[in-house]
Amino acid sequence: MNIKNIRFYLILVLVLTGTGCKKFLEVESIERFSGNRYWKTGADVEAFTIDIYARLWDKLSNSCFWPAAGEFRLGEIRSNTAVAGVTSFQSNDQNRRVVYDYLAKNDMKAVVYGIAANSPWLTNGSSPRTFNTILAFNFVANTNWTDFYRVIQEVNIMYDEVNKGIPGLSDSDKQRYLAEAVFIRCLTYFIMVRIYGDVAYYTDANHSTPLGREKFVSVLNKCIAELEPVKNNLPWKYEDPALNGVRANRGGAISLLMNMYMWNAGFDEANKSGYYEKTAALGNELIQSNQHTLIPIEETSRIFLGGTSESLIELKESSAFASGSNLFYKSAFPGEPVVLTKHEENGTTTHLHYKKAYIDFLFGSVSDYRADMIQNRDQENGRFALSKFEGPVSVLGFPDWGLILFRYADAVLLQAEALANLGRDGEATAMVNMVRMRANATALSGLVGQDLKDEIFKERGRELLGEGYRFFDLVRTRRILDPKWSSNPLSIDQFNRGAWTWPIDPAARDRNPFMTLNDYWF
Amino acid sequence: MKMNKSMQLKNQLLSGLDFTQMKIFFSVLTFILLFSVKDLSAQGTLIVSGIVKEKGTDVGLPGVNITLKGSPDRALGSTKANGSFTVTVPANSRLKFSIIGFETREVNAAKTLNVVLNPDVSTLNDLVIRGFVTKTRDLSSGSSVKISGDDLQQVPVSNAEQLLQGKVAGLNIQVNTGAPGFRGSVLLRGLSNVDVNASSTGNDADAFLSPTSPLYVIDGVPTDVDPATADSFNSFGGASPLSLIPQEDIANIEVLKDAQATSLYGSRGAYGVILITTRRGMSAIPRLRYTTNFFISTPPKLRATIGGKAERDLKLQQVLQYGSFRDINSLLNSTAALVDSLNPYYSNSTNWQDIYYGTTYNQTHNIGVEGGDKSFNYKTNFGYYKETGIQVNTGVTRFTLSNNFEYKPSSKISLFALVNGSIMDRKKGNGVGLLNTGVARSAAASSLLPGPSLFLASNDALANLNVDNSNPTKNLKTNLEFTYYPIPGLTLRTTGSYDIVNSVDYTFTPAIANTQQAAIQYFNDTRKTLYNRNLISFTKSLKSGHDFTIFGFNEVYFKKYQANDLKQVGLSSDYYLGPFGFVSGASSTRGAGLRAYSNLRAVSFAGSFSYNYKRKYVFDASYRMDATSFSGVDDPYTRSPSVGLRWNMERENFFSDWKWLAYSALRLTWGKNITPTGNIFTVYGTYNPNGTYNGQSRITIDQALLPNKNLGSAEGTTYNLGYDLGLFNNKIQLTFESYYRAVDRQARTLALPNMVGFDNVLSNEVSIRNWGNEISLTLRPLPLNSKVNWSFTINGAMNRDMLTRLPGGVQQIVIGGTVLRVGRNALSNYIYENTGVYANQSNVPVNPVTGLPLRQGGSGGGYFQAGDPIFVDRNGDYIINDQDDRSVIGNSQPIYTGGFATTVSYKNFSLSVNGSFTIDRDIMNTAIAERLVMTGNPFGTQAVLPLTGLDFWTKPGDIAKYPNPYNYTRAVLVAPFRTNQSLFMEDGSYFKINAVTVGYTLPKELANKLRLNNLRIYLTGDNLATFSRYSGPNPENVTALGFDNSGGYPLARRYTVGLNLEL
Repeated sequence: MNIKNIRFYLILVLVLTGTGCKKFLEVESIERFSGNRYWKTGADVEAFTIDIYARLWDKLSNSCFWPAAGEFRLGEIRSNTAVAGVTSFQSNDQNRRVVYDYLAKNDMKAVVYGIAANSPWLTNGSSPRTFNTILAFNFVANTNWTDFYRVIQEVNIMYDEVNKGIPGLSDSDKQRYLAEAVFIRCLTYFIMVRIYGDVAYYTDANHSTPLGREKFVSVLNKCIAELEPVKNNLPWKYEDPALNGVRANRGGAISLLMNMYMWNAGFDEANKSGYYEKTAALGNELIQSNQHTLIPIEETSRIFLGGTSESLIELKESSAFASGSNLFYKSAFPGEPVVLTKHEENGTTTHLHYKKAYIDFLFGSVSDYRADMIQNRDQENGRFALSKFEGPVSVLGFPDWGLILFRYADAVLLQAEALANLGRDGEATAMVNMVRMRANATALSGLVGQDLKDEIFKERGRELLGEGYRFFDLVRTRRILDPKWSSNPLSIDQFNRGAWTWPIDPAARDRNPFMTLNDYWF
Repeated sequence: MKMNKSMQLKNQLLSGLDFTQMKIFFSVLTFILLFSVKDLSAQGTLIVSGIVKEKGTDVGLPGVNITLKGSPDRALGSTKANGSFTVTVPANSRLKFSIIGFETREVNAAKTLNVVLNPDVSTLNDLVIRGFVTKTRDLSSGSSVKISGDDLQQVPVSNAEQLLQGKVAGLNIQVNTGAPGFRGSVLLRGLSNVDVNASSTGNDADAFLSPTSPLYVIDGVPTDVDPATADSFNSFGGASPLSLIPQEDIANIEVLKDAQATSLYGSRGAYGVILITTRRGMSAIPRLRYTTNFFISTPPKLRATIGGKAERDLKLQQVLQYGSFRDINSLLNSTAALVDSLNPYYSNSTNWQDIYYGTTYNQTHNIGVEGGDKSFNYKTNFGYYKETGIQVNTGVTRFTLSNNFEYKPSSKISLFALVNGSIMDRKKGNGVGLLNTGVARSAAASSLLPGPSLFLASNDALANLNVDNSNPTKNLKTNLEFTYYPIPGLTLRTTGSYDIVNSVDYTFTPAIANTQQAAIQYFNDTRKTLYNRNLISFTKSLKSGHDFTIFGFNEVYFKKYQANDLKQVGLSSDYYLGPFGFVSGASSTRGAGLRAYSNLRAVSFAGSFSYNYKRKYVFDASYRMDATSFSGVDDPYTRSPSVGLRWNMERENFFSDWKWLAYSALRLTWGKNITPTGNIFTVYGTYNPNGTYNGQSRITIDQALLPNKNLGSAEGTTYNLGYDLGLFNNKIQLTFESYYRAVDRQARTLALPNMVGFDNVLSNEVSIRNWGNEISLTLRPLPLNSKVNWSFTINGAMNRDMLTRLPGGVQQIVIGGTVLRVGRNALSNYIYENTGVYANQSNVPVNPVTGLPLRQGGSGGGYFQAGDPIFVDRNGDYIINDQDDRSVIGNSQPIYTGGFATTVSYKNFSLSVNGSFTIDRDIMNTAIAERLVMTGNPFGTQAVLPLTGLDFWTKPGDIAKYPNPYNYTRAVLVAPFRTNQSLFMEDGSYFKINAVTVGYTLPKELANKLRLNNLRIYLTGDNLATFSRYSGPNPENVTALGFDNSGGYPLARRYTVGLNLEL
């Protein structure tokens, strides 16, 4: 044994053990993926993006979110008290339907936390009750924003990863995914702002630090600043027609921007003309593109099935794919409580009706196809129905709705509203008449100034009845303060203290010293 | 000359024709022929014969190694069974006689040599292991304690680890479960994590401290000793590999305590390292050792219960005295158990505890065969252990067969191989492991109910008796070690090991015990570990007195683990099980699936440098890098350095006159153990399939845990100062150690605000400080030639801990009844402070604003009155409630732990006693709380326990410790006996006599007449007595968080008759 041999053994030992170490340590797990192994292909991005949409969908469909937020607090609805023959669905529980009356009275505490035995609302020996034990009335879920932030975190992570570069992803796809991420983030913040007011705002991936709430005008302005430059990276239409409407597109982005501008116009008095200008310009861009149309009025119910050229952005899980209890969540659709559907023979009845006075206020007695779509407008016994929501029925007896977040008619009317606010009455009238003509209603003419604005506002009520816009329209135009427009008006003090918002789950303050709740609901 | 030598060997061969000598002959022959034959012929030779004896006795020592001194030394052989030897050596040579356990002696060769060896009592000459390399203790700066396997033979146990209790200063072992085949809690130098998990049952007493077990290295192979799947107390999976080693097969156990000793084991050694070495053959004569134990396990004293009529009378008395009109008039009438005394169903006096607990008779057998010499030795050990638990339907049976051999064909090559196979079958009954809630509940049933029968009793009771549980663990361990010594001082060694552990947890619950639905659960897991270590070491001694040792090694692991689980409920009958029965309704099957899976690879590199000058000044330094496949690929390595110094003062010239000073050494070490806290999933997030949306698959990031890219490693830094002293020829030996350990950046899950969207994040911001002192003292006061041998050892350790940081900078985190509060001991109780009992109504505080007395918060809370407990109203709002009025009190971790052992032997008799103690620990006496709570519902079906001897309030004006237990109406209104109050916090200090053994060894002549080499019989009493002021059942039988969970498995007291014989 000499030194040479020792050297040989030393080298042998090193060679046997020292090399290929990094490779050796790379073990693929068969049961789950770690983040450093994900984000390797375009398919990874796609599957993750699908999950983002699905999470937003889950949040909006897991409780009575959309109609409770945008429609029921209107002040113009009442629960149907008529006794139904057969009650095969939870939401037909007559005792629970009174919750619509509390919503109409804007008594959110009762809606969210139930009615205590000593509540002044309880009369005639009614027993205390809560509404949150039943899926269809799970209003308390709407006070918790965690699921929205889960969407936002996923969006932020996706944006971050795609921005870093995904092997094999073309540059145009990359730009589209980035724009899509921004769009969904803005959409989510917009939905949150409308029900919570101020919210915590962040866009960084894997955000972990506690934040306080930011003024919502500022939140929306940040969203606008982010979405405006990238909206043109979104396609008007997808090659796969099944994706139209359900995936981010330029029309949807424009419509979201218009909605955000119009919301801020209502709250940011100093800059409102700028917002109107922007809205008008965007509306112009949307209409000039000719990518979307108002479909014939006779086919209105088709809009709510999704995928029409009128749809700008929608969420839908087709009953062909949905399984199990997901099918029960149809109360998330604004139309469900007011459509009799075709299972009238089962003995089920609609949950609520619009007050006759409100319907008369909107339509008067003039000829309008949309008025004809209201069945039994003067009945309060469960036969009141909006036939525009009727559609093909799934196995469980529900129409196979999509949740239409924004549609073309809304954008056209927003455009009209913005133009009217800019004093461009002629153009505004033309826009309103586009919608009116589709409904076989007589064209407006000769209205100017406030009259025109009021008529446009009425037109929105007629066109979008029951679809989850009206309460927000009342809030952003402050017409909620005016008894002319709402039979349950708020005082200016109530409005300023946030009576138009939802209560926020007190859990938001846990581990977050900067967090505040909505004071009005204490 | 060569001829001459062969002739002599031949003569020797003819003189004693037995197999061993044949083998010795061939080995020696081979040895001689192959190597180092130089110069033998140049000198004259001498035939040396004689006998080697043990000092103080007339007994020949077999198997003593005889070495010819020279350069290099040469092995000549070893002594025969009677201690005699004959060797041929060159004239004028020097011979060395050595055997483990005795001081080595060197003598000049002479024709006849009678050598007497002194038993070696100095710990200084111990061989200690550092990073898989052996060295003598006097050259080690690190802190470790070595326990001989002989000290672990007194009591038959299913897990030899528990015998270390009280034997190692700083090793706190609490045998907190008596369940056969389970492990207690093991903490080395105090708490190193605060990973408290709230219990899923919501019961504070069931909260769970994640164990941070030391790393166990069994025969040179690091081994995972905890069940792989543990869901708080509900542990599935098999027995710990530790309990698969029969105690008879353990040669020694070494406990490494400070970072200098452990840092070479890297991150896994962060909580200390325990090295277990099994026996090896080292006797030239084949020896057969047989050990058998018969032992009786008896349950501890069970609680007294009021039975039959007395129970009914007491409950009736309660209702009539304190009950409301409705209780007496209506509720009482509908409680048949109390009023229908003629009904045979309710007219019983069933002793429920007797049904579940009883005395059992058990036995163990162990046969070991070992033999061989320098060139070849072997060992085979067969063990059988069977213990029936003192609780019905529980027990453990173990078979082990372990073999190893070592082959050294030349002085340059050595090969060691080991094959161990073991099967251990546990029966857990209806319990879930450590907690036996089912039995506890049933054993507390009212005595008025009839005993268990298929028609009458409850599901619980029947389940405990009829559930068929089997939990076998099968382990096959193989190990091959090849060593090559190419030149003096250089060692190359490669070790490979493959270890497979398979366990099954099978539970069949018959229909009668499960609401008429027979159920079956089959859990199956397998853990496979492939391990390789390559080591190179070089030692160089310079003439000038400078010695260097440098070594380095690398380790590679492949670890795979998979657990599957299958459960079906609603089998068609109790008799038709396989293949897992016929299930009529799809809804009643739970299906089967993967429960856990992991595939881990790990690589480590380590190096060490040791230097000493004339064995006086010792310097050690080491460095280790660890990486695993979980730690990501960017910079996967964690690095653990250490440095140590040792000064052997007695070797200084100025001490050379102090003959009474055997040794005196000062040690100082510093080291770090860096432990990766996260894995790729906590750093980068976990991506999971999440169903489909419109037919397209969704993949989501798991939003339970936010990816944390800044996650670092936990860092344990230890300073250790040690002093070793041996006096008067080692009659007094003392070791004192003092340490300070800072554990920083420990991982802890931090809950996030809900605007973050992720539920938790793993952050590493927890910091703990530990400091303490340890002392060990051994006395052998009697002179070596005394007929009585007496040794006495005592050790004690003080450990204090403090929590210095929590994640997010928060000041406290509450988990059930435990609170983590920065700036005080890490685990405190979070309970209501009780300051007595309101003697009179006038003592109850009244809110001056409302004029109402203090009240209990929450719905249904009532106003306090005389006879109710005084809870401190911390926020002064006159409402006692959970959020505001609990206080941070107590420390669930013991401050002082230790033990003692003493052995006295005279002629053939010996007596040994050992004990352990734990001092200054706060225990929540849930047991007494439950005892009092049991009187809180006279309408229930619970037993009633006698409350005599308790100081409780009965009438206004009484100054009492306990509230009135008989006034059951208070239970609902103010919960006077809530378990989370300081009334039930007691001092859990105890002193325990672990074992007392009386042994008798047959005189040599008598044994030889029986053709035995040795025969020893002994009697042992185990867990004989616990002395404590604690008023509960047993201050040791409590959870790691100090809750005396009365549902725990009681510790048996055992009496053993044992026999040791050696052929």
